[in-house]
Amino acid sequence: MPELTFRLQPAVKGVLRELVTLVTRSLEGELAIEEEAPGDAGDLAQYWNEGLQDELRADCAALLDLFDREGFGKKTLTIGDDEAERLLRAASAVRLKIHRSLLRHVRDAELERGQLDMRRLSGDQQRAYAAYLFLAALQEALVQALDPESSEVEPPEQEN
Amino acid sequence: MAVFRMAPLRAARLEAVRLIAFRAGLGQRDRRMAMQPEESPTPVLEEATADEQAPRWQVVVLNDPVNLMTYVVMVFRKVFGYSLEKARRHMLEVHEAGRSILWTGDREKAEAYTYTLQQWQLRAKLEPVDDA
Repeated sequence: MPELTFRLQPAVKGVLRELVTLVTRSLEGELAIEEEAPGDAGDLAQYWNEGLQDELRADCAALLDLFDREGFGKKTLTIGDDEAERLLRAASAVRLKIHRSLLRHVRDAELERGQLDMRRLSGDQQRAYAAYLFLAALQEALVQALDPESSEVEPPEQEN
Repeated sequence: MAVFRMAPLRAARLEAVRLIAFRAGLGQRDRRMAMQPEESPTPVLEEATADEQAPRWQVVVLNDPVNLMTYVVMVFRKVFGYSLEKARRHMLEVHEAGRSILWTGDREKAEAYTYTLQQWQLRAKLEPVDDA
């Protein structure tokens, strides 16, 4: 079972939790991804999207529970595989939402390389970016625990 | 009348999609077993399956700047049972060409794969092969 070890200052943990809570609330009634259900039947699309929303709600609840768990940010926590998968999906959804709402002005290449100039960001954007990076680190740790081979995939070389 | 007859059929189909997607999400390596419903919820579903076996559909994943490469590779391996090399090849194709065809086959399974990939927050969509 995956083990998570993060050392977070209480103030940082508080900021991250607040932002993740806000973003997950903003996902109520919508989806994080832009793709839609197969578009040839409205009734199927409704069931399709409701199913995805139900799953997303449960995934986000797992992420918020993690922040509330005793010892998170201080000591190593052991989590189940199912919960790890929920956390992975929720982290993706929140990162997608942050990108779409708070970091939409950032060029994709900058975001992919993690080379944002923090001085260009407002306070809200800095907090959002911090959460964005933290959730990426959480995902990397979970992928490494669930599928060590996948976690060793190297990114392609950048062209400059 | 047709609308009222279609709604339960679509609902049954989506239940089948969810069932199949749930099984696919379990990470079973035997895709043939995982993707074959063991029981049909309703006879209507069987009719729908038979009607839609002929056209072939493809599951396409589009690039996004957010999801981590390692995460995408893990999801491809988990959902499709791909080898590391094959999953990595598709991930790079998505990254460099903007899209990759992950799977081709009948509509029911293609819907299930698309639904599962969207559940994993990937930009997946369904396309008829002829329109590609």
